[in-house]
Amino acid sequence: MHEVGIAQELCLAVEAAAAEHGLGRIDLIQLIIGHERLVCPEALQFAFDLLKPRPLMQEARLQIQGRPGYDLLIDQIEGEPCA
Amino acid sequence: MRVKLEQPVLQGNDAAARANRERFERHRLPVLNLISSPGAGKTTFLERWLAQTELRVGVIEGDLATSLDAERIAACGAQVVQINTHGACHLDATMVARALDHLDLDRLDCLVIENVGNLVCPAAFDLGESLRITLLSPTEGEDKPAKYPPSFRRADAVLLTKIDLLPYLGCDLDRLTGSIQALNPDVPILYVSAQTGEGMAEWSEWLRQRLSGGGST
Repeated sequence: MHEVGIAQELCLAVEAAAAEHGLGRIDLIQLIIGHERLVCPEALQFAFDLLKPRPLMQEARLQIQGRPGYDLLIDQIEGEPCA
Repeated sequence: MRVKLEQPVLQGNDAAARANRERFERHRLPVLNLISSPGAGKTTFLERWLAQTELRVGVIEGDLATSLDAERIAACGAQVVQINTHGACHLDATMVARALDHLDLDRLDCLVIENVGNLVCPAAFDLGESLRITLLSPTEGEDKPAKYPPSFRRADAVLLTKIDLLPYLGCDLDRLTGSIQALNPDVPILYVSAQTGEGMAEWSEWLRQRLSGGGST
């Protein structure tokens, strides 16, 4: 199930972005996923919920926009700055 | 607070793959990533090829568990490293980078990475390879390319293995090759049998031409 591998990479990438931009809590992760990737959104959410680092992403949810092609992008993240 | 990123999810793996690719280029080492379902014949194909090639071929073996494949390759006299993923269903670039530390790359003409047997996940992870080779056995059915498109759409060549079994199967070869070409119109399709040796010379010649920058068929 490649969603697990993708979710692992996603957590690492968002963690790094949060550190870079001073975010202490992540609420929303907006993804763009090309249909050719054959990613099952429910499987990706399931894997992400299992793997997401806490407390940083405790409440984080994924929002997936599909489109033709092979993209697998983090478009935007939303959260709260570090206290 | 919103932060626009527009960055690849797999940027970590992509960065590791780039580092691998640079390392391979420093050593002028072509690298093949073999992808197939379990049992399509990757290891047996390698054994046959190693027995007849003059190239010094090194192998990285990827499996969830056991060193069975590495032992088979070692018996052929080749440098080999076994990666056990202990659950991960694909190799990633970081695993490959660690394995490279156990190989003498300057004593190799070619490196083969035999990926974990899986027609889904390996296709998503760049390892830094030069060529991605997908293997498929006619015993798997003519419908498999259509059912598992990423592994065929992005292949640099497709090897149809175990062709010595064709007379005993009801496999429609035209339908099978047609389904591959529907996804990847110009991909070279090579027919091989590790049992009889049929097609192995054509494979060696295709690889020689491709690595020297020649024709792709």
